[in-house]
Amino acid sequence: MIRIAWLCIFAAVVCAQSTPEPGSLAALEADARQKTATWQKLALEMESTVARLLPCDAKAPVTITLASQASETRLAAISAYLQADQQEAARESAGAQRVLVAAQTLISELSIERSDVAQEQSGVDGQLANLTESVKKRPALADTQKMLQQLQSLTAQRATLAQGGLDRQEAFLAAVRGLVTMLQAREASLKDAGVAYEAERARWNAYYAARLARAQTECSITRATPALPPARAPQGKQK
Amino acid sequence: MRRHSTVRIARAVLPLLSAFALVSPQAPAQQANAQQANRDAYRSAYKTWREAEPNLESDASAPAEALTGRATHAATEAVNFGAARAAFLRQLADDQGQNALWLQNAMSLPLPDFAPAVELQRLVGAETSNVNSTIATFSGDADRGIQQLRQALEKERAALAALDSAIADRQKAVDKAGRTEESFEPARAKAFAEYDAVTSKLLTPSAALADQENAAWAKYYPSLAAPTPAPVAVSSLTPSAVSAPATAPTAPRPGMPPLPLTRYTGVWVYPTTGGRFFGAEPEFVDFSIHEEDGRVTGELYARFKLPAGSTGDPVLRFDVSGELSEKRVQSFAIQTAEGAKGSIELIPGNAFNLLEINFQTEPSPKKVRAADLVLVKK
Repeated sequence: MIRIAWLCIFAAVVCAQSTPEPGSLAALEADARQKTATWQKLALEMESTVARLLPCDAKAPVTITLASQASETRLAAISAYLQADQQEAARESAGAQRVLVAAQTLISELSIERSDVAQEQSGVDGQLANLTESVKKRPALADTQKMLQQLQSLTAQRATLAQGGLDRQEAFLAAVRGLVTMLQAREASLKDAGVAYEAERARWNAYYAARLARAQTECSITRATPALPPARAPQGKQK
Repeated sequence: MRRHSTVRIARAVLPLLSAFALVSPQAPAQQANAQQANRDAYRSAYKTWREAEPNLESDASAPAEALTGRATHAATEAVNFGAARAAFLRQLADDQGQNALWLQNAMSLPLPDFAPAVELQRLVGAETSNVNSTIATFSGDADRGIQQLRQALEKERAALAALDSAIADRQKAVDKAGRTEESFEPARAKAFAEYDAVTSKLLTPSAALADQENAAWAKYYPSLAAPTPAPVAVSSLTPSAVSAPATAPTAPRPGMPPLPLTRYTGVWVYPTTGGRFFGAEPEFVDFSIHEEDGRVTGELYARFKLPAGSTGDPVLRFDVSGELSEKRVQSFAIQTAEGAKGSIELIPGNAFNLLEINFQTEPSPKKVRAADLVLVKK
């Protein structure tokens, strides 16, 4: 019994893990794909089904309407996916913009850093010059002088690093700008795709409306000249 | 087909990756304000240091007794400046590192082709053929009803033609979006490489150099006051004279870090409230670290908060091992319970009971592979 319970829990966990989070892009994509499959089946069968029906068979408009509704549902699902994707793209684009601003700030920081380190270097240089004079009077300070020279070297390394960042600023900013431009282009292309899908949506709706109108016309012209039922003689006169 | 599978996998792991990585870069204005405040702090400390004992080196040939007090004064100010300077650089590296991390984890997923134009246009073509043949059948019929039907068929044919054109236009737009997607990954990889080169190869080493300089200044001034052939102990500075913990006034043993070992060793936990983290948010962390003869061993056991529906494993365990170094920031190798290797940095915090840990491991399915946390001593 306990084993069965554990199996159920395990199955539930596996099931939960394989289901995409509601509202996520993955869930919206799965929904759009499922609704597309449903519509495709109805759309492919619609014409052959209607062709087998008499003009005024009530099943004809029902069949067309079902395909039309499935089409609209599918296109609405695709639209929902595209809207979410566009929002995601806009977030990514805005994120990249912030990184670009931060990158530009970083270059300014490196410039200030270089200037501040230069000031620090100047201070250490002055200390070293003074200490070098003192070493002449007190040779025991030689090791202390070496310590200061090491400090001078460490500060110089920091200056080199700051300069290194500034030396590559053009490539650095160009790369981040390139990404921003690319993400903006992506955002625009997704918007274009959304507009194109909406246009297609309107065309599908127009087509199904025209198809339904044709079915109604077929029925109406058939009813306009209805075949007369066979005449039946009144019962009383026969007698 | 393979591309399709890859995309599906990417879509499935996207929420997980988003949870583990930084979702959006920090607001530049916030970063700039914090940086300016830190810069003001180190500049002020620098001015105070430089004005404290400007003639100390010139007077260094004087008797040691006369210099001790002045050297201690200068050392105090130098260390204050050094701590502020290193803090500024570390903050800058951390802030900019977040942007690099955002670039590292940014993702762009291809637009799915929900209904390929070829399939739809085949359907539309078949319907158009039907309509055309029906129109042709009634072409010469003058019956009023048949003429009405022909008009309906003409409208349907026009609707199908417009639909066919709209499908083609939409496919063009989808294809264009697909081509844009293809250029995303090279652009992202390039931007990340450049950003990483500046942050991890320039800013982080600059902060480490500032730490080294700070320790060196703490040794230099006592040596200036009491130059002897023997190694000069920093302990000539009184504890009260050294305010910053980064330069505790004890002479480090060779091969040992400049700070007391207790700043690294012991049992550390993630605080239940107000914890600071970067990357995956911890639920709890238990980190113990031990030292023996310069060799460090330890283990980390942590659980991270994952978003609802995430398929990731919230639990992480790894072992730590390595040799102590003379650096303030200690780096060791780690190996997770699953066998993934990586590294960890132990960064003593501003207070004696704080320890920042920054680890990353090789990619391991569904496991947290990087985090930066501040722990408190248990």
